[in-house]
Amino acid sequence: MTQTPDWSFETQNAKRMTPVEIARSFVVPPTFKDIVGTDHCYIVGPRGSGKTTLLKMLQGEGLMAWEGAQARSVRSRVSYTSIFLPADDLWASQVHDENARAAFTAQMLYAFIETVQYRQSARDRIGNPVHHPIVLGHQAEVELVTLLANAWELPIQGRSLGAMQAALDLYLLRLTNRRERTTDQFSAATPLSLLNFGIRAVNRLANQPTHRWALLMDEMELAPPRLHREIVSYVRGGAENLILKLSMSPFDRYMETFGVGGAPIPGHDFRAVHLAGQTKSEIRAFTVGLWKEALRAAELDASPIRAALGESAITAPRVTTESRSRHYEALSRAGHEDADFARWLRRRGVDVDHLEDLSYIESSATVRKVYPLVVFRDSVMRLHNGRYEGRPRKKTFDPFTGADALITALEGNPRWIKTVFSDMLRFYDRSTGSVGQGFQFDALVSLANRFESLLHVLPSREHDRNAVPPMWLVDRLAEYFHKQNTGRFQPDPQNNFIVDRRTPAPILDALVMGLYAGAIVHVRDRRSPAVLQTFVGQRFRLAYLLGVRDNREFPMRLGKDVSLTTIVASSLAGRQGARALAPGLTEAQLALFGEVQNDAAN
Amino acid sequence: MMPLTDVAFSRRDPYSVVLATCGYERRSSYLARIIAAPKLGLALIHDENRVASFDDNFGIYRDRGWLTDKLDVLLDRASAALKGAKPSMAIDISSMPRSVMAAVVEWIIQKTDVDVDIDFLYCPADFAMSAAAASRVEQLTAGPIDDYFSGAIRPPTLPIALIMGLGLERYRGLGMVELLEPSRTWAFVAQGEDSRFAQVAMQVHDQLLNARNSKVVTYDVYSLASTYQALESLCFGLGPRHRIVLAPSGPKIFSLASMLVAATRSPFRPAVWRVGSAGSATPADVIESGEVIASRVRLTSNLRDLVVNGPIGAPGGW
Repeated sequence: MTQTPDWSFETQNAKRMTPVEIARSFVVPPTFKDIVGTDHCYIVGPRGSGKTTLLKMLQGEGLMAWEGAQARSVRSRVSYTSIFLPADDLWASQVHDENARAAFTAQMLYAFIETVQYRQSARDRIGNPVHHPIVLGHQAEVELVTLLANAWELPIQGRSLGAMQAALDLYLLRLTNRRERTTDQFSAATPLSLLNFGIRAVNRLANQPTHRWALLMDEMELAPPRLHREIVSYVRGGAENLILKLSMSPFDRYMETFGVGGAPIPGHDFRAVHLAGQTKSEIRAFTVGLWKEALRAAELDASPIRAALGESAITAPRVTTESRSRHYEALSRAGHEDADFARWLRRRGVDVDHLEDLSYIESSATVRKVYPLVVFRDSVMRLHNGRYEGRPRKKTFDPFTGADALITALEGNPRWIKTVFSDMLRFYDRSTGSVGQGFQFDALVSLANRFESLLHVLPSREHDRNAVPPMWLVDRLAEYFHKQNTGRFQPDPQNNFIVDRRTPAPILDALVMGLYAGAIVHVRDRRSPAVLQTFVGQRFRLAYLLGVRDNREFPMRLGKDVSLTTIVASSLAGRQGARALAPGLTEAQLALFGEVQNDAAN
Repeated sequence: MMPLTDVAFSRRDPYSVVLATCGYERRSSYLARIIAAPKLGLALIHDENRVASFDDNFGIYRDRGWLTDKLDVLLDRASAALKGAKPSMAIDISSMPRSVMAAVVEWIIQKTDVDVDIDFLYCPADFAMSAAAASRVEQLTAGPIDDYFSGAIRPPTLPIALIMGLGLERYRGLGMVELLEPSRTWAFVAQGEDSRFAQVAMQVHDQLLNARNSKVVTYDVYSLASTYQALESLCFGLGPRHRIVLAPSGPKIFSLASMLVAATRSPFRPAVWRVGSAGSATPADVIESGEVIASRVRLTSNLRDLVVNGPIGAPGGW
């Protein structure tokens, strides 16, 4: 066993890290270049996809601590001062339409003052130079604080920025959690107008009248509707000196107003950057970057990821004799034991006993394509005399391990990647420079357990008894795809779903939560909208990580589409099953499940 | 801190008012079966889950002349009854849903206006039945128990400290950690005469307990006072630099201790979250192990003033 990786890599959650800590282990994702400019920006991705990391890397302290190859050029492109404003589920549970504006305003202005203090210091907390420094003498600071206290109607005990922070802190502590609207300035004024006043005041006193500021707002989807509307409307009508960079989950609950009646238009008023829509090569490059960083943090010698984790059975074999013979062996075994597969091979004129005679083109057109599926079936099924006879005594790890499988399973999600790498590297064998298949699989299963636990406790959006639990939907999808891939052999089983118009609202709500958590992935293509506003006609799949769970395994690849209603209806025992799932389903919705089931049966 | 002390439970000394639950657990009528008749017996009834032992329990309460009704009605009656001379009150939390317990604690802190001794009574469950009830896998949801317990709003830049009571249910502990992403977690595991509870709880939450930023603390399920003190002390130390979430699961003693700490701690008031069934939980009967644990708090007007107004005038401050 090796020593545990150092703190900067072990802490997988950017929320718990300072910008400096993030900068020390920052691996630049391909999307970073899209958010550093001066456009208003929506960074869209599920939990753990790296939104917080990207936002924090736009803060002065992070930029100045960053030593990567692109650091200098990015620092010069960030011509604005960033104010970072986080949110989380605890904060979201404490605010509502009545107190949200006041709480949000106080926290935003607190962060603003903190940023002014940073710019005013000679060096930051670790001794680095300051990004966009300003010099405010004592008199200017007194003038600034007096101005702000008047504009914000905030009683203060002194005339320093520290006193201003203390006043804001006290305001927050006194803010009631109860559902009673307050009438002070923080509740009455538009939050961003109060911030803008402060920005103009600082710019004037610093003699930088055109300097821009960026408000970096994390987890925007957690903001209550009213606040959400106010902030979003600013994107279109806001002031020149304030840029908004908002991170949010893949589906914005309040997006229905976009592009309508003066609301901001994706692509025109703001840039939408999708963290989950990366290409395979981008995901690979990013994961390899994090692999190198994980080795460095654990003080291990550099080792290519494929050398350390091995080849994956889910990809076509390389040209080595050993991998090619494993490849033929698996196909040959399946060809002899699985009658359906044997028939399929015969129809294509493939002789499983002479696979080596196939030309490259013949092989590509037939067996290479189905090879990952064959490996998958071999891992989770026990075939005997041409029949499926349940599960094997011990499933093999082949479809889920090796470099390519891990890269695919982790989907370019930095938190997942860091978690799995940290787990695996505890079992890194220095003598061989590798991690065993079993340890790779255990790390994936451990992550999947954590992820499943999260899905079990996700707060219901509606807080009502009619809500369909997101975990219920995830499990039904996984079971359906498992059956598709472990039933009679078909070369291209259904592995993704399309949302159809008939899908009832409670199922769509569960889908939203699944997207938010990252359990369900929107399969984007060139025609996909910049921001997902409606689900109908869109294509989705389950996160591949969820396919490692016992009895619900599914292969990590796309396949044929199926409608969501078909999947849901096939898993419900008629109207009673639907009623038990979601008592609030209407009669029409219940009837729909009956119809779809009949269609499926016929 | 609240002046809370563990006391010996007496079956013979009658209370002025006893508040209990008429639920589907057999254990919910245990006290009514064994204690001296109170001047006013109040048993809370829910509209839902009138299954399992509910009918038997209802018969027991009816035969002993207890008033059965909804919570607000019962609390109004209790308030009136406590205005008499030298009032004493007992609250049986054993089968009380956590949301009801929260409302009762808020009532005690915010609404009662007489000097009164309140005894919290708790009848531990039989282990085998607790384990069976906990083995069901249900969709859960997590969030503040109610607005009163949603905690002080503080800057989200402050890290979260999660203090959990562990039960026997899968997913709850790890799910809370994944949801709230705390920087530090304290997992409280109940220790009682039946050592199986702690053993099974440690097994079920193995992945959580092995995490680097988790710390396991044991608490005595027979002592509300020491559990309260341990939580109070932890919250006192963590408060200035953390946003604290108390997430009780497992024995109700821990839930009550969490609520009492949160209701009286200021200025950095912790939140109390419930992680429980998202819809209608499948009721599972639970019988009592036979013991009764009692802890007493003496509420006086001075104490209440401090709790309600607090040193900085924060609502619910201390």
